[in-house]
Amino acid sequence: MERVSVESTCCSEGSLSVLRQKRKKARLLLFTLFAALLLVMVLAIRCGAVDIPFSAMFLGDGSVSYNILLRLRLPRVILAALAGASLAVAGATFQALFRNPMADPYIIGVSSGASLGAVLAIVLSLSFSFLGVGAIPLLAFAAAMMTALMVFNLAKVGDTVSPLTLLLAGIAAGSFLSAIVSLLTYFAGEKLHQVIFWLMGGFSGATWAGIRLAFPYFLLGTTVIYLHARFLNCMLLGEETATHLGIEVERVKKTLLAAASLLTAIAVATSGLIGFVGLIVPHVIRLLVGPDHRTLVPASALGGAILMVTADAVARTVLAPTELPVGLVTALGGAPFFIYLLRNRKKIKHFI
Amino acid sequence: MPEVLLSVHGVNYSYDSSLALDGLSFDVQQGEMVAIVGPNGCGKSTLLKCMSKVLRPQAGAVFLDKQDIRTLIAKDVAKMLAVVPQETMLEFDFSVAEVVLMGRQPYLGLLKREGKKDLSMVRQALELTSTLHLADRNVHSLSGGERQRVVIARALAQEPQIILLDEPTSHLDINFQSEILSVLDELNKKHKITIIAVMHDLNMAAQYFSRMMLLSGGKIMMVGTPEMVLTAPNIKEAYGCDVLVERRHACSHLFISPLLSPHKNVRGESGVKVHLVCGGGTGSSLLCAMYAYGWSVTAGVLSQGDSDWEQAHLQGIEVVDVPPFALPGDDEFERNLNLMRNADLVVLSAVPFGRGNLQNLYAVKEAQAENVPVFVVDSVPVDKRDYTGGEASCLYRGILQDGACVLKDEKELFEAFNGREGR
Repeated sequence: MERVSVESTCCSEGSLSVLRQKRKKARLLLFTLFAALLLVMVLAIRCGAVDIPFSAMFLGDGSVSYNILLRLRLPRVILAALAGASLAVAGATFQALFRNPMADPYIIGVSSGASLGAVLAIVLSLSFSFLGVGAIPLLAFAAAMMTALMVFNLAKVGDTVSPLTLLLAGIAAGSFLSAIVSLLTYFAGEKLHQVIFWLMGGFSGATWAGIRLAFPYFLLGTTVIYLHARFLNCMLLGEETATHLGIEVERVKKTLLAAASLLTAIAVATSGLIGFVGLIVPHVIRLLVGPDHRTLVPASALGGAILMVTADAVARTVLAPTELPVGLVTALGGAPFFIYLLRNRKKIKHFI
Repeated sequence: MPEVLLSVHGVNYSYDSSLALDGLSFDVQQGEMVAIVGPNGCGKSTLLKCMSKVLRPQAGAVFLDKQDIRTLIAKDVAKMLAVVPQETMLEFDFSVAEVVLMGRQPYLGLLKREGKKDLSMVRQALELTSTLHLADRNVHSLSGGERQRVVIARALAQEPQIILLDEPTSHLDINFQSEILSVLDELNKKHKITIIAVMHDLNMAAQYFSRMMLLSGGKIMMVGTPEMVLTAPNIKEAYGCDVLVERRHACSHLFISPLLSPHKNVRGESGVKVHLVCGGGTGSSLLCAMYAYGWSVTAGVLSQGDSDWEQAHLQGIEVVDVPPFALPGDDEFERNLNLMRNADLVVLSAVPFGRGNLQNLYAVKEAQAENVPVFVVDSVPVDKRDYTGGEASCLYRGILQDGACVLKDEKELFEAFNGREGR
């Protein structure tokens, strides 16, 4: 008891300052990232195959420059930001739920489901639309959500879902669906180019209608995950410990899986398969501010948006007027980074 | 009358087909400090998981403060009961303060941020576990003992009435072991927190816990004080291992040590039957040594509560006893004599003689007359321990004259015996 009293007098004031410091650091990072995102978005709108000054915005509806800026580039940049943010938040969530640094948004096979939906729409030349959104994203979204539901139910034993079974079920369902996608691709004929282009991912089809449809889901998914940030922190200590801390683990896990799958489905449906963003962004943010999800989730959203907008801008401009698929750019940049992470496992150990 | 805080009622749990808990029932009262002991795989950890709602028993129920925990939501359970698991995964970049703050989780909703109250609870928890100076450190940089204290601090931040611990000291060195248990002891005594811990180390358990529960094969073998539960026969039955249970001095806790080779091999095989006449602590070490040698020992007549009596009781030895300060009657005399008749030899320790145990000498004499060999430990001259006015000395000398083997100390007994056996 003597020791206790000595310590409590010697460092009684501000010994929990670490909490305040961390919060301060987090706020600073979020602010910086937000500013960076605005800057990157402005620059991304500015650059492209055609050089258009911002003054074109005030030219009015009739001019070509105005249309390029507001009907093509602006929705494109916004959609890239939405997709990047969705993937990064979904990635951070899956990494925490699976307690696995290698988890990414596609881990439970959502991507394969979405691909199947999209490829089906292309191969069958479906051309209906709903609220201004075409058949391809709609089918992709529906198939992605169905896949997530199917994998989840496959992995359910009784009332509980173990992360490991979920992972394996995801891999199994993913490869099965991928095989069907390959089969369809094989018979795609003249649509082959379109199929492959979709699979590589990109934002060339961005429209305001698409954003209108995706935004509410994005908002729903990220809000749900952000509100559960403290739960995710506890889940990092293990599901049993989370239970001991008063968390209804199974319910929270289901909610979070649903939210993260939703975010992934939006991203895949609107932009195809874009790898590495969801994997890498959470890792980088964790290196910067630590594993607290109350910072990690919003910071990942901002970081993912920044990365995606940048990658899209690079994809549009580097070989202009030819456009590279964004998935190619993120993979080219992301894969080496991922390998770097793999080579530095010691570091990974600390941030998941 | 302290109230029952946690009540386990007929709990059954089986993993697939193997039954881990077989109808367990017990109560834990407010302010108790209970150790759950038992061999590996006896269901200790399963029981803990059933009590903390991690596992759902197939039959029976657990009541927390009179409420069935199945009807309580996890949050309400966590406000009353905190758990310190065997190992906590703490390899993340969280600071100690953040980890302890997680203990406030049950008090926070989706939207509520931690407030002043939460921070002051965290500080208090850190102070109680002497970890305030670690608050800024990263948890993965802590040593095993510090880490365990931090996890206990997190449990305290939950403001629980009960803390369950699963082998809290199993990964720690001896210094940290006693440190952790002292922290728990203090929490129990000063802050009235009920502590229930699964303990691997019986000696640590005997030292710190006033109530023990011995599990074996998914059932409760015995509940009670360490003296009631940690007896050699109980341990033998539960763990299948021969042990010596000793009390080193009057104020010490029980010490349990396994009987190792070479004695272990001998135990139970030599078949030598000895009856020991002792008392007042003169026979304790002899008793332990004979037991360790594998002799089957009986003793008597002893007063209940006498330290030799306690030793015999702990070791599970058959004793003829009488209540404290009562004189043995004919019945006891006869039973004692019968034990002597059945024995291969009678050993008489250097016990002081008074009115209470004079009858024992008569019994020895009678046994000797019936050709039972008598060994006498004569380390203290009989005149100095005769409180009967010469009657005991007289009898004693008679026994010596009739051919009892005199030993200068206890060790000689075994030397003499080994030699005789060798021949």
